[in-house]
Parts: sequence; C-alpha cells; structure tokens
Amino acid sequence: MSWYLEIGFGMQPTQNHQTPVADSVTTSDRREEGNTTVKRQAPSLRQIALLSAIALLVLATPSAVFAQAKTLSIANEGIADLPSLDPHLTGNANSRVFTNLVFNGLARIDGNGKAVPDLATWTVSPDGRTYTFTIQPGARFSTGAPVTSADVVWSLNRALSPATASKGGFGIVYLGIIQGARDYNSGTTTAIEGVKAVDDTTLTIELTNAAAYFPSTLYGSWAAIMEEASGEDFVGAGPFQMANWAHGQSITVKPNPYYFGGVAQLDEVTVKFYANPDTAYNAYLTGAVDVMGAVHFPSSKVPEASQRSDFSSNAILGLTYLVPNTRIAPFDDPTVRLAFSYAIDRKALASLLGGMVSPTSDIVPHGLVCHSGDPAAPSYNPETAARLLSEAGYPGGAGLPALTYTYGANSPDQDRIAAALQQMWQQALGVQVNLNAMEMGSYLEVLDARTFQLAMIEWGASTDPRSFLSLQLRSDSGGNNAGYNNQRFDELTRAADVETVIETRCTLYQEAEAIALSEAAWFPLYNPTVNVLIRPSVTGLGLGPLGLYADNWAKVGRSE
Amino acid sequence: MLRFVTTRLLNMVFVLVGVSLLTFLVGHLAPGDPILILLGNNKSPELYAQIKAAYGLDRPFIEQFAKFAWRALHGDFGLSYAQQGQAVTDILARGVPVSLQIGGLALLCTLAVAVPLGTIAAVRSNTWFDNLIVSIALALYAVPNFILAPLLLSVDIALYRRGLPSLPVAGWGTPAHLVLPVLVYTLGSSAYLVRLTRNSVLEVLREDYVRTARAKGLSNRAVNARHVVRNSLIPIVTYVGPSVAFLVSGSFVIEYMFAIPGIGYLAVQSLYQRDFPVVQGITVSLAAAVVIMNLITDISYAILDPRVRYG
Repeated sequence: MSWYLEIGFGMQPTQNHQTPVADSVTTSDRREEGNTTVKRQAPSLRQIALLSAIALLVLATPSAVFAQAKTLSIANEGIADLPSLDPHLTGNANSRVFTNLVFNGLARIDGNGKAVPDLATWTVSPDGRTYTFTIQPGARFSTGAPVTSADVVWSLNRALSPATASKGGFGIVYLGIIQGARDYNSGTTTAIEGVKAVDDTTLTIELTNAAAYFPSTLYGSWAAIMEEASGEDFVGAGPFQMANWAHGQSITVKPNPYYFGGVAQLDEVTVKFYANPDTAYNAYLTGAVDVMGAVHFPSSKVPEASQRSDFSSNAILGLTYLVPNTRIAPFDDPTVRLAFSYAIDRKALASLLGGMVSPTSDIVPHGLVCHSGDPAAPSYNPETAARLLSEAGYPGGAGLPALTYTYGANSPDQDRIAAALQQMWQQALGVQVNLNAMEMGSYLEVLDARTFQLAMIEWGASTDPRSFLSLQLRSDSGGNNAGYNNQRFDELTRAADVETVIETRCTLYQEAEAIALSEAAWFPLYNPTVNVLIRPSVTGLGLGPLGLYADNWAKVGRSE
Repeated sequence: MLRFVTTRLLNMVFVLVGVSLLTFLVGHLAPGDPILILLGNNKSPELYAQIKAAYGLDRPFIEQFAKFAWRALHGDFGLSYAQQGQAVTDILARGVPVSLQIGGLALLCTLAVAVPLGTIAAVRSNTWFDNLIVSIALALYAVPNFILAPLLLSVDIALYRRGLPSLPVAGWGTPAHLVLPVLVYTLGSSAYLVRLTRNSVLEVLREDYVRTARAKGLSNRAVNARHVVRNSLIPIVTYVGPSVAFLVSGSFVIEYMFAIPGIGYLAVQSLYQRDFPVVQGITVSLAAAVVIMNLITDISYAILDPRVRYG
C-alpha cells in the first residue's frame, strides 16, 4: 500500500537537507562574480545582501554541521526488515526497538518493571473499574499539536478496530478488558463503549471488571497514542520522529522537537537490521553499530563477549518451560509429571547455554510483581524423581508408553537442550524419551492442536503474573497448551484478575501458582536474559526488565 | 529460428502456469499455518478467524486458486502476510535489483577471472602454473561459502582492530560494501568455472581441426584464439545461462551473512513464515528467468556452433 512508500521515500535524511542550500549559494556566487569583474569598487548592494545571506545561513545551520553530529545506531537482530511501521500491528522485541523511540502510551514500564505514567497520570474509582486519565501538560506530537483526549480515544479505537485486527493487530489480547472492546473488535458496535473523552485533557476508561494490572497493559505499542489528524502517517508523541526507512537495511529517526520530556540530545538514531545475529556482532566489533544484542545475542559469542567491559546482561520477565499434555497418558497423571520435573537439572541446562539464562523452578519470574519463589516448587532431585515414578506405577520406567519430546528447532541451542533433557530423564528415571525436532511453523500448529506429549514454550517478557497464570493455565484459556484443568486454580486466578488490593491479589496468584507447581502443570526451566554490548561513550542507556531500557530516551547521549 | 523462438515462448506460458499451480498446491498442503505464525504468542480464536478471513484463507481451495491465478495473470501476487499490507510486487521490485546487482557483478568477476585462468591452465597443461591453478581451484571448490565468509571476515576484523584499512563487514549502499560479498561469491563460483573451462579447452585442443590448423602452420596464438577458445565456450555458456537466471533469486547465504537487502534471504524467510504470496512471487519470477535464460542459451549455441540449427 502506498503509505509505506510515502513514509519510506517522502522524508529525507537530514544530511540531504543541506545540499540544496549549498547549491544555491554557489550559483548566486558565480552570478555575483560575473557582475563585479568589470570594475573594482565598494561592495555593491547585492554583495552585501549575499554576504549577509551567507552569514545568516551559517548562523542558522545546525551546529551538527560543524561539531560531530551525535548519532546512535542500534542493531536489530533476527529480521531483515520491520514488517510494518504501524505500532498497532506490532509488539515483539524486534518492533519494540523502533516503536519505543517514536511512540508512547498512557503508561510505561519503568526500570523496576512497574507501570508508571507516561503520556498521562491516572486515578482509579473505588470499585476499581473506572480509570480517569489526565494527559500530561506539555505532551505534544512531533507535528507540534498537543496530545488531546480525542487523539487518545481515536488511537485506542483504531488499535481495537476490526480493520486493524484483520491486518494482524492483537490489541484485543491486552485491552479486551475495556468495557465494549470485544463488541467493537468483532464489528457489532462502531466505537469502544468504555473509552470516553471528558474534556480536552481528561478521559475515562471503564473496564468490564476491576483489574489492578490494567495500566501495565498500556505500555505496549498495541496501545500507542497517535495523532488523529495525521491518521495512518503514524505520528507519535515520543522522543523521536520518523526520518527515513531504507527497506531491508535500516530505519532512521530524528528528534521530536516538541517532546514533553525534553528535546533529545542525540541528533539521529538509526536502527539497523541484521538477519544474522553473528553479523550484528561483527558490525559492533568494527564500529558500525553502537548497541547490539538487545533482540538476539548470538549464543556462541557470549563466552567471548562477556569478558568485555562494555558487555551487560539482565534477566528479563519471560519464562522458558516444558508443557506436558495433561489430557493424555502418561502425563495426565500429576505424579508422573512431577517425576519428570524433579529429574531436570535446571542449573546444568543454564550452564549449557553459556550463562545466557537464569535457571528457575517458578512460574512467575523473579522481578515480577507477585513473584513468590515457592520453596516447594519441584527442583532437581533425582531420588525424588525416581521414587515418584515408581509410586505412579512405573518403577524404573517399566510400563511407560513410548515418549516423545517435541520442540521447535529454531536454533542449535534447542537441540542441545533437548539432548540434555533426554539424558537427564534417562539417568534419573531410566526412561528413554525420543526427540522430535520440528520446523517452527509446523511446531506451532502441533502446539495449537495439542498433538504432542511433551513440548517446549519460550514465553517472552510479560508485565503481569496474569499473563503466565490466567492466560496460559486456566482451563478456559485459549493459550492453555497443557490442557491443564484444576477448578481451584481457575477460581483463584479469576478472583486475582479482578482483585484491586495488590497484597490480596498476590496472595491469590501465589496460591494458584503453588497448585499448578504441586501438580507440575508446567516444568519451568529458566528465565531468558538479555545480553547487550553498548559502547561506553553512550550515556543513559542500559537494560531493564523488558530488554533495552532508557529512563528517558531524550537524555540518552554520547560522551565523546 | 523464428518458429523455434515462438514455440519456446508459448511453452513458457505452460511452464509458468504449471509452476504457479505447483507452488500454490505445495503451499496449501505443507504443514504450518501462516496466521498462527503471524500471531505467535498472541493467539485468540476470534482474532485468528478474523485474520484468516481477511486474507481469504477461509475460502475453498478452488476459489483461492482461481483468485490467485487471475491476479497472477495481471502481474499481481497479492499482499504479503508477514510484511503487513505490502504488495508482493513492491517487495520484489525492491529486492530483485539488489540481488541482480551483487550477483551480476560477481558473475562478471567470475568470468573475468575463471575463463582466462582456465584457458591458460589448459594451454600450458601439466606445467607448474596449471598445477597451481588446479590445486587452488580444487581447494576453493571444497570450501563452502558459509565457511569462506567468516574466514574473510575475521581477517577484516583483525585489520580493523589494528587500525589498518578495512572493509565494512555488512550492509549495503557504498561500493566498499560490495567488496567482501562479491569476493566470496566470485571465489566460490570461479573455483568451479576454472575447472570447467580447463577441461573444455583441453578437449578442444585434442580435436582434429586443431591439429589441422597447426599442420597448416598457423601460429599457436592464432590457433588458440580462432579455433580453440570459441569452440570451448559451449560448456561455459551452458553453465552461465542458468546461473544468470538464478541471480534473480539471490544467494541466501551471502545475503544473510552480509545483511544485504536482496531477495535471497527474503525467499527463505518467507518459507519459514509461510508467507505464500511472496514465495509464489519469487518462484514464478525465477521460473520465468530460467525459461528465458535457457532460450537465450540455446540461441547462443547456434551462434557459437554453426552446425547447430533450429528449424
């Protein structure tokens, strides 16, 4: 569609901006020479005009022309291009590298994983169902227009519109709790009932039920606020604005002069695509990028890179876990599941991956609100594992049907983990598990159809325990690949989802988590880590709970 | 000749229809669901149904194919699933020129290096020069380009670290960016072409007409230039023709390693993502290129060898 091209080629990079100016000076210069060679005398009026024009130009030219322009380039690994600039259609780690620069939402996630005001501050009604948002004074789009409640209402409606959904927009997964969102998303109504502008800077969002986690769903680009007047030109109110999209190579952004957090110190940020993470690493070594690894650090380079002083690493709020199919034998028996979970040496798996991950036995990741660190969670204990298996009626694995571990072979690491797991089960339980590596696309289908015995899921960073417990383990949830079904668990998570008192909510979630772990509904393995190389001269940029993090992108600078 | 070309061009239509039908069918039967892949972690049954309907994937197979065929006849392969909302023709129009540029340059370099070296090696067969060329070619032929590339890159990075002049390790845009990928490409394909040229020239050297030419008292140079080289070109043309066609689809390995925005990486990525409109677009363009290049190759046989006649 044409608007992609308009964005790609319609805007010019900042350097190009200088060329026409320089050209016009030379032409008028030549013309002037022609006039003055005849007789030498006091400067003519035209000469004075020219000189002052040059002087003005010199003064008006951004200092960047004289001083080294402050630029930053960030590697975006694993993709050859962004699929779209539309923030409402994206939301994965690859897209976030770009959308974080240009767009923002009503709330954002701070360095501690907590939802804090971004474009707006809010208050909650006593019943926890109505949020009143007040747009921050001074919040402006990159066109200079102030952010109004009408823009917010338009943006949220656009994010959840049937048209956006049919292109792949998945905002409904996060914002479905807004009153009337589902009806609007499916096309039965013409607007979201629960989102209303009160005045220019105030709006209310009504939810179907109380939900303390609601602000934490507003950080993602699926809820990005855009200027209504610019429509599908995708104008945001973030620290930067779109400058140039070189398809298959890079996206360049320049400062939003009206950003309410201050004008960015950097003159330009370029996001460069490297389908091969190894290439991004080489690009960092040869100075072609200043930041690499934020999306995908090549695991083979971690041992070498971790010796460097510009390397940093941080566990993120995601979880990699094994899913037993709890609907078919033998994993319909919780005792068998527990035996298999106890047999896994998570620390050994983590060291196999060169310290790229941090081992865990919990479902809710360390660092996320309501994390419990349940001491009763099954962790490595081969004796317990063997004992549980004989209790289940399969001493030494005798009588077990043929077992297969199915996984998506998207990297060599997956094969190494599978082989290690196979060995661990063999040693602790005496069970021979077959391995079935599948191409990723086919694997997703197998997961969805639940035609596996034991599989693996890598769940990316989430900001609320609900994503792990309610959305993936409740019996009626679409994301329940394990087919887990426990009434008490369902009741607890339903109550926790609508609970507004944070302590009570956490207690409910922790109790639910303990149930799921005591029945080994999943075998948690590890929390992924983000590893990055950031050039020492870059200031104000580091790692947060979701990956690359700047407290304020406008304050990110270069010390050189 | 004219009738030959017309028949071949008519055949081409059937080949293209066949290829499209086959690609479409294989895509339809292959495991994996583009919409599931698109949604990843964010799946919900309603959303899934919505997107499936938007791309017309909920329609019966015959209807889908009819729609695809009708559009393809008008040069329209529809919209990509993965590159949201972008027309396949736009994606191809961006990537193919890049792949053609890098591949074309590499092919020219290969010809410029391999044909003269192979010819000289054959003319001076079993001398030290011949042995050297053949050994190097054999060694390079045995090293795949996914090994050659990191080797060259580590040399380049070492140069950079010592503050010596070095080349960009990845990217696109300046002539310097072309050097390493074209070098890897050229080294790999030259290795094969040198051996092919040498064998072909050696064979021609043993022909009766070459002996006759020498017996007439022609100088070595005249014999080689007038009788040997031209006649030994046929196997080379056979090799070069289809390779030109494959330039359209780019080199997956080289584009992946050097972050080049061509069509090669895209082709593989589209398969993983089950982005069938893009896969179909690439396959059909490649098929067209192969058919056309084969035709050109056949025509050039007639030019190179007067005995070849097409009725």
